[in-house]
Amino acid sequence: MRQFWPIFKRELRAYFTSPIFYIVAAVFLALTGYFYINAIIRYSSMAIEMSGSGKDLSGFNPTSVVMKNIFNTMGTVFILLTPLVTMRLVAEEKRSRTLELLLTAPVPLISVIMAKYLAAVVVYALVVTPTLYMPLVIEYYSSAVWGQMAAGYAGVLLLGMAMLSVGLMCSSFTESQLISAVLTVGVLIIFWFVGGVLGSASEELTRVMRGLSLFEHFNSMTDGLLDLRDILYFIGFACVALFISHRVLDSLRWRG
Amino acid sequence: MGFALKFIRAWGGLILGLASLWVFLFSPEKADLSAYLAAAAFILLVLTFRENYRMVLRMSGKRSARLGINSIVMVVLFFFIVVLLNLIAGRYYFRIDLSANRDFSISPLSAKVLEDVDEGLKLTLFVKGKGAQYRDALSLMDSYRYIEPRLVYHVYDLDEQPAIAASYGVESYGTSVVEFGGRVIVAEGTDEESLTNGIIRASQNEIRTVYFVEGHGERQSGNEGPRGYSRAASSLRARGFLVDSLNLSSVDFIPQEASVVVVAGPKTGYTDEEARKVHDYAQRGRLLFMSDPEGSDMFELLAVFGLKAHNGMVLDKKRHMAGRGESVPVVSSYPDGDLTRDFGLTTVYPTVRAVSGGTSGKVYEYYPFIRTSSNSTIEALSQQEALASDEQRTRTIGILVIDRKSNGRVILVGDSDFASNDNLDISGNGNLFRNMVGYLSGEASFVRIEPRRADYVPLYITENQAKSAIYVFTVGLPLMVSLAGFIAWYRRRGL
Repeated sequence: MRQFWPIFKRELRAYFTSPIFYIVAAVFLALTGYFYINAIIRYSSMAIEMSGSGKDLSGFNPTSVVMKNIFNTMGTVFILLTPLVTMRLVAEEKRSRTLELLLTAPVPLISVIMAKYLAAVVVYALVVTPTLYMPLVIEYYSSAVWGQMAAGYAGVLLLGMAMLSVGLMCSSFTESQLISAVLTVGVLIIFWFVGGVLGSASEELTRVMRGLSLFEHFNSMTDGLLDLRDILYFIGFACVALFISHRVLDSLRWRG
Repeated sequence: MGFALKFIRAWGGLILGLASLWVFLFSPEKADLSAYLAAAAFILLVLTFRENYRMVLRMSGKRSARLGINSIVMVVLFFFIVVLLNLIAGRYYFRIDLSANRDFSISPLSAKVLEDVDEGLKLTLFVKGKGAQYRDALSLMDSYRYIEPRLVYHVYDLDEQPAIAASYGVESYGTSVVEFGGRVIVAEGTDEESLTNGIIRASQNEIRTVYFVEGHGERQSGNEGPRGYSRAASSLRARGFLVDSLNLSSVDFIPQEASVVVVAGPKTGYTDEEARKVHDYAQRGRLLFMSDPEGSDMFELLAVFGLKAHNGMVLDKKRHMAGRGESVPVVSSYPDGDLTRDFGLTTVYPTVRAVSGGTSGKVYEYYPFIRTSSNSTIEALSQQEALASDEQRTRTIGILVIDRKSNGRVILVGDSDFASNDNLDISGNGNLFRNMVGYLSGEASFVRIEPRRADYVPLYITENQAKSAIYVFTVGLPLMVSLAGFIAWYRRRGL
């Protein structure tokens, strides 16, 4: 555990002193902010149009209509931004030949991996945190359903943790950051859309594909459902990816 | 530990794990079995993993191709262990519904119905495509299974599984089939109310019998011709009714088990004795009369209830079926009552006579529930008939009467064509016929589940507020972050 903190702090410092973190944060906030404000304006217009129409408006609320879509947008945007956060984690160390120092140091490999991973998770959380203005704006102008908001943000956090673990895994495969980024996007897209390509698949195959899909588990959380199965899925997903990273890096030790 | 035991432990764990996965995929209702197998496999494989992992660590200073293979095996094993953990959670889990619309919770009524049902409940839902309707159906089934883990369910795209749909007699999207205790109930709708009522119907011990009277030229439940009622009878059987025919002249009284007696378009009148049997039955049972303009007006049957089937044929000049003339009125709106609540389908009546009841009083209450438009007249069918009415006004063609004392219920409709084999599937005709029989048989006592919806929450934002929000959140906030990045870069450059 003692060896964990220095590496963790070093990784955090590396993020905060490099432009990547700020570019990712600025792009993410700009994109989600744009979609959010448009969604709010659209909701406001619809509310005015529909309030005089005599239609049944029950169930029409900003949390279900606006924030649900924003959470989905965050997930989609992060498929593309995650590689930027994780591509340098191991690949850069391989390229600059500092990885050998790390691997030969008397530091458990698990500490190295967890320190890098958790530093990325902290950075991700710091990028997402400013979006908390969204439910606050809704609460100020209207009324937010805080339970559903909390479930949505829990989903965003767990999804990010799963995505970052894939990024770390892909970064450990190669010394090229570009290849790492492309691999990460590829893997994330497969797991994001696998539940949507149902077609005429059998029931059993459909169940498997939906069970593997990042989107399916994330979607129910953004709908306001906290289900232990979804939480375990994300944690298990991250654990498998981190274990693969561990095995790959460990193989470097004995392969030389 | 000896090699043999390690071997058994590893392979035993693998086999148990695969068995658990098999049960999960192909018999998901046996979630308990799947979880127990997964738990046993999990323990065995974790022990195997732990021991192998230590061996890998010990060997990791050596170059060995075997080490690479071992690492791959470890990764696969670890993945399998995570899968097993998820299989266990597939049975033993909790969920908290924080959604605004309570989309993931079923009503306490539905939960109670599920808890009262023993093992063996199977639900099959037929939907359109694999889009939103499919996902909603799966989500609802997940909520049902959370209450009853032994529930077996299937959700099919009707277009992809026509053979399975045909085996149940299902022809429309949004249809559910409930199987329980040897009974098969086809319910219209894949929402919670339809499913829960279907489960109630399937689990009831009481078997409701519908008798179709014959002997006076009525439409017969076994007649498969265009004029027959075989399809109407089939649709009732699909809802769990027993259907039979009844000749009043061959029985002393209408059978005790009759839930509903249907008189469908007789051409000749009833004898006094037959009318007496019907009236005796009305004290304890429910009656559905349908009288065609060209058939008997059933005066001897209807008068005691204060009902009358008027001569002539209703012509609706405003709302009639395109291409078939004014003599085929079309009705799209109905009063809000137990019989037609939320019934919004259009119904079509190929030649229909007007009907009426008395004034609601101490004995009988009258509820007209099918009415034509205000541009309706009555045309005489022959010169012998009483004068037709040219006055354009709304004509009642369907009426319900309730006996306040005995709670008996009688429905009179001025047409029996609408539910014949030729016309049953036109728009909402079949639904209305089934609803009428269902209502008379006591289905009004089934649960009514209101869809849970959060209150409407308005949000109004002015143009200035929108502009300010854009500047602050879409431009300002990212700029601040970029500025912080610039400062961090500049300071680092300065170092």
